[in-house]
Amino acid sequence: MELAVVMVAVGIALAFVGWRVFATLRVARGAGCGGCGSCKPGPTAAGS
Amino acid sequence: MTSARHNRADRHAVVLVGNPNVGKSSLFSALTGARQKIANFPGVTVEAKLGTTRFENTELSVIDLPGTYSLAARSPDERVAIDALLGRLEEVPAPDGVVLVLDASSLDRNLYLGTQVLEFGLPAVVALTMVDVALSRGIRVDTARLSQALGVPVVEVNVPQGRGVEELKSTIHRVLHHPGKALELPFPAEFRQAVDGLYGVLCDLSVDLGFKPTRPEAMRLLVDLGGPLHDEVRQAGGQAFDTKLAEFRARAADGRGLALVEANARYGQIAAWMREARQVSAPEGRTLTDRVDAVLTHKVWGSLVFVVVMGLVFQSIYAWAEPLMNAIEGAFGWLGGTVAGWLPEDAAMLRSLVEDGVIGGVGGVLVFLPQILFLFLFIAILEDLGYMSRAAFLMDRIMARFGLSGRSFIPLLSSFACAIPGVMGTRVIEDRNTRLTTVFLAPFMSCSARLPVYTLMIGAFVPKQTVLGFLGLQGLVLFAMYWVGVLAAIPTALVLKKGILRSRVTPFLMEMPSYKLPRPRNIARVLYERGGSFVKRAGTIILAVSIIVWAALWFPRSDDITRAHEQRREAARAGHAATLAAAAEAWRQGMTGPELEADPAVAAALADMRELEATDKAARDRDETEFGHDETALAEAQRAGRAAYESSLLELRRRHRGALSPAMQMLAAEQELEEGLAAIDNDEAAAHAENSWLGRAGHVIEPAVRPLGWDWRIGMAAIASFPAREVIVGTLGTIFSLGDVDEQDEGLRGALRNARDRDGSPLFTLATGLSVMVFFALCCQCAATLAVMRRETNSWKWPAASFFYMTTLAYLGALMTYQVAHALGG
Repeated sequence: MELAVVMVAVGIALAFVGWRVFATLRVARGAGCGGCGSCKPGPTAAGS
Repeated sequence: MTSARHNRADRHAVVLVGNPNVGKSSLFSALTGARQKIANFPGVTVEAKLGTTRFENTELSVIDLPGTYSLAARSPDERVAIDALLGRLEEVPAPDGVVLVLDASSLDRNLYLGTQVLEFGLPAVVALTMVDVALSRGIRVDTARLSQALGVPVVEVNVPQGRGVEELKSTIHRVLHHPGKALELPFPAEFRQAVDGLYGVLCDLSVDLGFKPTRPEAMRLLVDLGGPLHDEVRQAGGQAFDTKLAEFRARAADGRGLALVEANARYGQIAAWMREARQVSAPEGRTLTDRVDAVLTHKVWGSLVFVVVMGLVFQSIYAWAEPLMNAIEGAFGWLGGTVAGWLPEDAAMLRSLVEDGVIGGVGGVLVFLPQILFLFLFIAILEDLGYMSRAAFLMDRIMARFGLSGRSFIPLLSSFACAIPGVMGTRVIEDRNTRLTTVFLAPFMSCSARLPVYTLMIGAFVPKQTVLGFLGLQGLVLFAMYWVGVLAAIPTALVLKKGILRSRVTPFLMEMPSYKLPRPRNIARVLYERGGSFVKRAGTIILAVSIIVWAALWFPRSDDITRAHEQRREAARAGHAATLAAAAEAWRQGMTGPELEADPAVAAALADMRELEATDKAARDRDETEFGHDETALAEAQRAGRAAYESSLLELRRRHRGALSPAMQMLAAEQELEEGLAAIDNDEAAAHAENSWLGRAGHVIEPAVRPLGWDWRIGMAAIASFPAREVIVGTLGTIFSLGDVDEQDEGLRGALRNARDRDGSPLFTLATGLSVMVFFALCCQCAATLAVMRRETNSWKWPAASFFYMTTLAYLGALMTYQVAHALGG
């Protein structure tokens, strides 16, 4: 049971990181922002 | 049926056009209610933005365009403005009308763009902003006369006070139901004829071009060579087109520069309009803003003020954030204990995942939230005041020496928050080579993700000392770290601009906004967005990476290691029992260890001894905190403490007589056992860590990071941070929570201070801390930035070059820092 809970947590974490890698590659290929929140313009930011 | 037709007929789109910093973005928000960043800074909008509003039964789409000074179409953002006006942008609807946003206090300059826009002949309304600023300078604009001159309605708008927005909506609604009329200015006849001739040539090429050209575009093409439009037409028309264009240009110029012919005609007409529509009641003398600017933009005084202001900001971050950080650290300590209490005793793996992976990782990062908030609080206040534009002006002068213009400064300044909007902000730079140089330099600026790394290392290894009697050393080091990236960027810029990306420096026109009192709502929003973004990162990517790092550090679990350390524990306990037995025998012949523990006289002496030790330790800690910065005072306090201890011990000897001696032996044995067991726990954790997947990978890379003063744990944490640098704090939190089991209470900073290398020496020294900080200051550890660089440059070449160059530079920088600091005794 304990191992199962840990495996699920690690699986979700791996899936999340995989999704972020995929989204980043899409942005590199020209897609718009996927809304991941990595980039929020700061007070001096010139753009969105 | 009727309703459907009605809806179709009453759906319109208008486009907002204006110079930078005329309140266009605020007006967009007021019209649409959309949340958008409003900054007192030119160039806040680099992409067209969309919002919707309703007026009566009309649904109005509002398009917010990048602020621009003309439609010269030399830079990508100016081209966006033209394409949006002509309905050629795929993502935004074709506009049925234009809202021309003009600043009443600088009407001449604003109308230069205004006349160009009105030549397109779309139904238009002028939104006149900054009327109060104009009045304060003695400038009164007669809107009726201005409207008559331009041939379009003029509405005064004051967004902060909410005045004029509804009237503007109703005027837009009215003009959209009438056809627009193109403005015609009195250009010289040769110029007009050349435009008409070129327009004819463009119309002939329309099939190849894939769009129907307009007369204003023909004028732009005639005057502005080398822009995106020129490139497109050249592809369609080939060499023959360029020959014709050269003929038209020669005819139109009539011996003068074409830009001058255009500017003369426009400004001549604008001056005539202004004589009718504008009254200046006060002589334009030096205002308070002018007098303040004379200091703040002065070569020497301005630079000095800049350094002092920024220095104070970094000092305050340390002085004010510390109590809040301690509170968060305490809260996470409490949370760890509480959660551990809920989990079953025998579920060691799950407990470790929650305590070391989740709480150790995420909690370690969230501790730095107060410092992030304080940094952005100060920057937001300075920006709202209007100070940052003055700083940009100062830097423009310096940047010109390295071949960069003020246009590069805005994206680079943005990069101190995050390099992604900085890289995107380079779209305002018209020169391709300058743009690429700025894209390349953006990741060198210390973004907010680097702040937790700096503050973690500084908090742990830079002593809390004052320099020159008033400057905190920690704040000073933090300030210096922000300069490391800048200092590395300067030679990089020089090499690029004098080498492969050589180009001329283009002049940069930037407006100095009036000084304003900071708007609390604006500042609160900045803090909410920055703080929210940081917390979201901690709760998503940092949490995920912490869990993965935890798993890589926990598995595979070796039973041999567990068994071997269990045997050591048993041996330690047996040794303790033997010591007790010897003490018992020495006190009373034939007495056993358990009998000694049960003896009431010895138990009473032991209790008093424990109390004395606890009081002594508390006094020593207090002295350390109180006199830590003053060696002489500390030595004096320690001497006094020692004397008090000796005196109390003498008193206990009198009180307990012979029972004190075995009690002291028991206490020493107890302490020895506790320390021994803790050391075994640590050894076991370290052995499991070294045996783990992460540990094995770490040993492979260790030879490469040893010269930087790092062990495999720091090396692996740095590698795990390549996708996003702030991950290192969470990763270190997990690695050192799992690896140093007895340091939980002191938080991550304490854990790092107490971490030991294999030979037992401290793992982290000041030299190691500096080396880690320099590495992070110079390394491009941000996958999102590299992705955006690829998107903006349309090539993998630039992100790849940036990644390898910055990683090499970071390694060499960290190597040099460690070796020098280590040699100096750090």
